[in-house]
Amino acid sequence: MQINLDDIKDILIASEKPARYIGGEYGATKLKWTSFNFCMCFPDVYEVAISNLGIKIVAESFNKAGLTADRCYCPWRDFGDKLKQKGVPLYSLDLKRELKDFDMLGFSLQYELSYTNILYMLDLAKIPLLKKDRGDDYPIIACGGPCAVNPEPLVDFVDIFFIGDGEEVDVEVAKLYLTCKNREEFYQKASCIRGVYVPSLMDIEYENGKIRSFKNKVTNQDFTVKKALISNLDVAIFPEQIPVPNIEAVHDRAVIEIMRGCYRGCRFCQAGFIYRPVRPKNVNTLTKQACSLIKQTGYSEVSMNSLSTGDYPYLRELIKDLKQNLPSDVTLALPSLRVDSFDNEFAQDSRKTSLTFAPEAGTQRLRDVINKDVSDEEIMRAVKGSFDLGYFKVKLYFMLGLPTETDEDLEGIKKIVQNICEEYYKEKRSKKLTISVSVSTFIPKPFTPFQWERQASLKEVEEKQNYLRKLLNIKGVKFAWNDYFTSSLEAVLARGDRKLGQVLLNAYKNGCVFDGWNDQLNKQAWRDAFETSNVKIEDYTREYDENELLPWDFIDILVDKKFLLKEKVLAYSGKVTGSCKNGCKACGIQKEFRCNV
Amino acid sequence: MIVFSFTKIDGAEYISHLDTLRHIIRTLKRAQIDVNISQAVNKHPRIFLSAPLGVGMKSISEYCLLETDYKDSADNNFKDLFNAYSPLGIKCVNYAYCDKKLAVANAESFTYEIFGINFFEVNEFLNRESLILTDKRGRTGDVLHKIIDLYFENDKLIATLKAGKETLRPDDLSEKLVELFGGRVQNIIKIKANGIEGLEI
Repeated sequence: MQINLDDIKDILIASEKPARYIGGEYGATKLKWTSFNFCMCFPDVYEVAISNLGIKIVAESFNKAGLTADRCYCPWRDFGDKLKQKGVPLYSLDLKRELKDFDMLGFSLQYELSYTNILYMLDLAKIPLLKKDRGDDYPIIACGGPCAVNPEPLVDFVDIFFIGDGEEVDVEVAKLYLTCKNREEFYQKASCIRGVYVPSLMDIEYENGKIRSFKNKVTNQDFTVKKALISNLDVAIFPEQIPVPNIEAVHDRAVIEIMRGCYRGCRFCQAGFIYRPVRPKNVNTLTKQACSLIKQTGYSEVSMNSLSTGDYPYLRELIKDLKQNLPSDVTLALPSLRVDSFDNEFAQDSRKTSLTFAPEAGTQRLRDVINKDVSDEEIMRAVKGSFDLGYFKVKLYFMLGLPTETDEDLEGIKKIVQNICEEYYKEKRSKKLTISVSVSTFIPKPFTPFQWERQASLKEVEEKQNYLRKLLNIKGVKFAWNDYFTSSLEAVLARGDRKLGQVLLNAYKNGCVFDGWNDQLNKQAWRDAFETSNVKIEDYTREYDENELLPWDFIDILVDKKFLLKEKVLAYSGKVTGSCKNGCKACGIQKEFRCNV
Repeated sequence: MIVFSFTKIDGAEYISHLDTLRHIIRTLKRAQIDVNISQAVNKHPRIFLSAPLGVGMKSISEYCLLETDYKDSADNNFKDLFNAYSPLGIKCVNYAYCDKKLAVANAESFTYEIFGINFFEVNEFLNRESLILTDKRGRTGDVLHKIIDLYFENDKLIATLKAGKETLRPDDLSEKLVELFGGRVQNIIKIKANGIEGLEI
């Protein structure tokens, strides 16, 4: 069924930012219904969703293959709840078709606190939430994205997961679907494609409440899923045109991905491990993509995205090439610049608002534990450079609750702040310095050397936050910290297993949606959901034994578990492994891929 | 300078005034139509829009003035160029070159088509002593003098209503007419701006 916007005028007018729900953006692909119709669903509001590059790449891969990829973003509560009240099903943006009509819905898992939004979207689409309640008349529910590396909390709701790079595997699966007689045949065959996980084909054996094995239901062999990998990003799909948002988006600029993966191996960083190997794109490719996007969109800014922009091997050449080829009024944004790769030249090309650095830990000792190979001298060199350019606002990010952390490490944060103040006021400056210090609670994420660590308790974190608050009671310094419950919920969903499906369902039934938004998170509803489901938060924030099988251990991201364990030992010895740029660290990737170092 | 009229239909009626301005700026960039930039501290393109339209209200008669040196060529005219690069629903209807800055935001009145109001005797209605209504901001008052013209044309009501300081919103009027005569407003489309000095399109 197609939705006519005139028929839901009352709902649109009564909702905040109704332009979120109209489609028609310049640059949106002109779609038609084809043999396979996919809807790329992003479980967050329009202005967040439309900024995401990953879903544009996936949609482009479908459209280029002659298949249809429409879009749907999570409606805000006011619009969504009214749709439900009036019995209007959730619809796609371009074709205005109700989601139930599609062959497959693909949800992007960007962060764990968006999981209840998936349930909200399914509910609004009048699609049964649990996969066991869905017959073949309903679309296949698929998920991909970074959080898919631990898919288990969502297996009650999702038919198929895509693990790893999404440029090719999604379309391969769609084409396979067209050749299969029924869903059973499709799932069997799809599960043989690299990067595809069909949860219904895996059995988990438990012993004394802990996982003993992952078995293929049919063959009874050990079950593994290897992540999909695109070797050469220069020839991979990249959208030549993108929809220009109807309202101001969180990232309202042209975005190019300059490199996938990260050389650094910071031990807390999941992205640094799951996106390996490092694959920089070449300068010509990037310049061509940037020029095409600027011409097609009318944007005035290009953002060069990667996990560590300063580590892109050809950054100077790229900046020079972009400046020569882009219109003169286009500015360049360089997010994710590490402190030690900060260069005055790069900062000059950035917007001059504030500069952000992420030392993560207050002392060299703790930075060595987490393999954040950054010295105090490098921090000071970077801030001095930024002050000489005229910056007077500095943002610093740190984590609390890291393994081996002591009060001395918290005092180290104060020392860094004091040194920065001292450096700034060495010279006469026209403006007052503002330092924002932001601390978040450490979350031990899957596929990192810290995946076995426990998360610090509420009491521990509150004590540290209070201590830091006293230490940073300094003029010109703003101190912010994140809420512990949010961090613990994120930890649970990141490290959880299939038992969390019931918790998610109960949380949704209790009204939990948009949990990533501070003003929407309903802590009591979540606590009730855990209690009703007879699941304890502590079961997932605890320390995991090195010998136990973890819920995500059947996924192969190509980095060896032995390497992660070795890194853990080095962490506790306070030894730095350093960057892959200084020599291969034999993480396991090298068995399949020759890294560009 | 160029003054052009454009639409807000096909969903674009839900785009806010500020976002509409952003769309026009980007459309012109994509079309490579250069617009003069102000010389103030916060530089901005010299683009002027007619008064904001209520979100949800369709229009085929919005106006925009550009300070630009652009001139049509043998291959390109402004309207086709603009429309090739604009989003759905925001399309140029007509355009003209002008020598002086027109006050596109200062219309004396606007004419609307209103669909869905039950038929009533317009003359009898206009001969009332007063028409008291409470607008969306909660202000109550007599608005009869703000209705400049009113008549039915087939199934639609054509209303010309005051603009500027004495603005009467068509949705406020429509709600009142539904209350008095029944029906359900299906659509309101702004079709004309009246009294913009020097405007000839």
